[in-house]
Amino acid sequence: MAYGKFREALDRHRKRLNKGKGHKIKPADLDKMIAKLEQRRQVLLAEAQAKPHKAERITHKQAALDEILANARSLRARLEPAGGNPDSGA
Amino acid sequence: MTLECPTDILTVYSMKRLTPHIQLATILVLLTLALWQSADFQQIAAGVALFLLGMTMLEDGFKTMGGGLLERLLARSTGSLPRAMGFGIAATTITQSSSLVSVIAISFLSAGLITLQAGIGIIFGANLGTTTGAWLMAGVGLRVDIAGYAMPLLALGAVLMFQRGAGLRGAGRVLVGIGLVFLGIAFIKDGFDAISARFDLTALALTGVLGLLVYTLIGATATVVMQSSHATMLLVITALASGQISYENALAVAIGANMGTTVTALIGASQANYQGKRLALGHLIFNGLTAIAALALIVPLRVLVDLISDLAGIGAQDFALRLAVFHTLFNLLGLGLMVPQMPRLLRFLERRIATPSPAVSRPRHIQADLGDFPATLLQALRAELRHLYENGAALCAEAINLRLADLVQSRDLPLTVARNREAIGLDLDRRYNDKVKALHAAIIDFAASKASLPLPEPAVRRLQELRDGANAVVRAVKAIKHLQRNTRRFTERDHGAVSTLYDRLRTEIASILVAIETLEATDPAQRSSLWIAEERRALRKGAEEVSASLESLLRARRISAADATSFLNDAHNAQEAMNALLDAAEVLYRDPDDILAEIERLLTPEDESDEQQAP
Repeated sequence: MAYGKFREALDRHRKRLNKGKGHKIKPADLDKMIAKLEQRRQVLLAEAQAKPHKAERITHKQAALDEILANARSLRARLEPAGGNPDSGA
Repeated sequence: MTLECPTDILTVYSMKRLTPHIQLATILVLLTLALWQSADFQQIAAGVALFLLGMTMLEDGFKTMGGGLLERLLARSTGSLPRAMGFGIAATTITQSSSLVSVIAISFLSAGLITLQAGIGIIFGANLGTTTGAWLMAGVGLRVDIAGYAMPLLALGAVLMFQRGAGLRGAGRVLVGIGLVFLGIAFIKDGFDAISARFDLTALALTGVLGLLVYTLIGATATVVMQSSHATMLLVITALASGQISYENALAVAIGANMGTTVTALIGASQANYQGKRLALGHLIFNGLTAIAALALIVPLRVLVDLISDLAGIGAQDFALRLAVFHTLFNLLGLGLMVPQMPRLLRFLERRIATPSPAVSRPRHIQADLGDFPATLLQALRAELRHLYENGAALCAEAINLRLADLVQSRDLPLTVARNREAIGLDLDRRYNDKVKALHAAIIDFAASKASLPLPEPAVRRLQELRDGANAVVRAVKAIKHLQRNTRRFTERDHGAVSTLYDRLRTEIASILVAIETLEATDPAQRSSLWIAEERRALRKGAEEVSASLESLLRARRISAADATSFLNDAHNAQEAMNALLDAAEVLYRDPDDILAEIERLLTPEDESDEQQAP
């Protein structure tokens, strides 16, 4: 997804949190999701090799997955800056 | 009786409506008379009222405090009969409410989340777990001045009850519940002590078979009226400790109390689906056979109780504790009789109450008796959405001359699609009415009725999402309907290039259907609703390629303008159907963990569906 739209989604999530709605996301939660996404990436790579006739479709799927993974990592970085101190959470 | 004229029918109808009111009025009049006549009875009745109020508070408190903990534990306790029974024993011992555990078991069974064997295992376990109540009453309630403990519990509980957090509120209700139960026991004890000073109710004792039968009936009736076997056991234990009932008659009351609980279950099951009815019948058979065995073996059981009591150091005159031993022993006897017969019982229940297989799809998981446990409601609704999706997906496939089962098994989808050109006799309007419309209406109705409950915010959000998922299935079927005619026209007979285009469209739809079935078959811990975004991207790219093919076919004049226009419209409808199917799947495969679901919502690319264009 476009980065701008991802930021909008993040802003909406923060507003909901401020109203006492929704769940605060912790770094460990995102780590779990990133691990799931990375595992999925491996599955798609294996599928592309096993089914060359589906390679084009799988390439499109991989591109979408890579964008999601990039956004997940970006969100993870916001939760825990390089110094290693997590901020107040998303 | 035969009904000769409409007046008779009206009379019977009016009687049916009036009966509960007449029963209530009779109970109230009798109660008022008894309260007016005896101050001691007032004390006992107030004690029972406090006890029942306390039990209700306790049940509510555990529901609020648990935050779905009981339900999550129950979901994990379905692997085997011993685990299900263990859950029933532990949960009932902790909550002291077999009705709460039974209601959750019926909810889960009706929602298709546990098997009938697990449901019956839980009920069996709950029956044994409930006997711990008799031990607590006889061992602690009558020996300690528990009214003294009630006051601080009530005060502390009242403070916690008005806190914001659900956990604290629940804990407050549990404390107040225990306080009221203690107070109730103290009231009943004082009432019987006062009666003992003036009357000797043992004069009403009956001996022999008549005594057994009469007091069993009294125990069952008292339990039905008070809707609590605990209350009956409390009354009989207290009366026994005060010497107001003979030990022999008290044993019969305990047997009757067990029978009485099944009436509550049967009333509850009248609103349940076939699985709930099977469970209630299983409960009735279990308790009925246990009662018959206990009555038939009352003499050897009594000898065994004395033997165990003597070994455990229970005094010869401590009839209250000996009654607790008897209560546990005859429930164990029931388990010993019924557990080996479990396969036979299951077969009997499944034969007696058959699985309905109507031509018209009825809700399988959402039932009136699901209670108000958020996790159960949402899981049942999710299962019903999957039911609706299955009906909708099968219909979508058949509308374009494909069968979902063939697609799922196919190793080469384009080839499977190309080979399946024969018309499938499908009356789409009728199938829509039979398999989708009624089910969709039931889901919308259920979601609307549950939206008025005081559910936590994530549950409300999920409820809305599931309702939207049901709407998406309907959107998909309606969109497919528009392309049915042309798809059939161009696939049942070869029309050259345009048939190839329609086959590509059918293959795209087939790919989406297969992708969703693959998600369904994937371990829930390994899958994510985010995989749907991948399908959307592949769908968008596929549409761009079809659009390019169409243009080159038009330029080469291999396709007429009229056929191209028809195809453009149909491709647009196909895109709408596929996106709607993916919308439903996105809701279906949302992570069950609230926080991971929140992350999925955040990371779901919003622009994929927005950017999709028909070729």
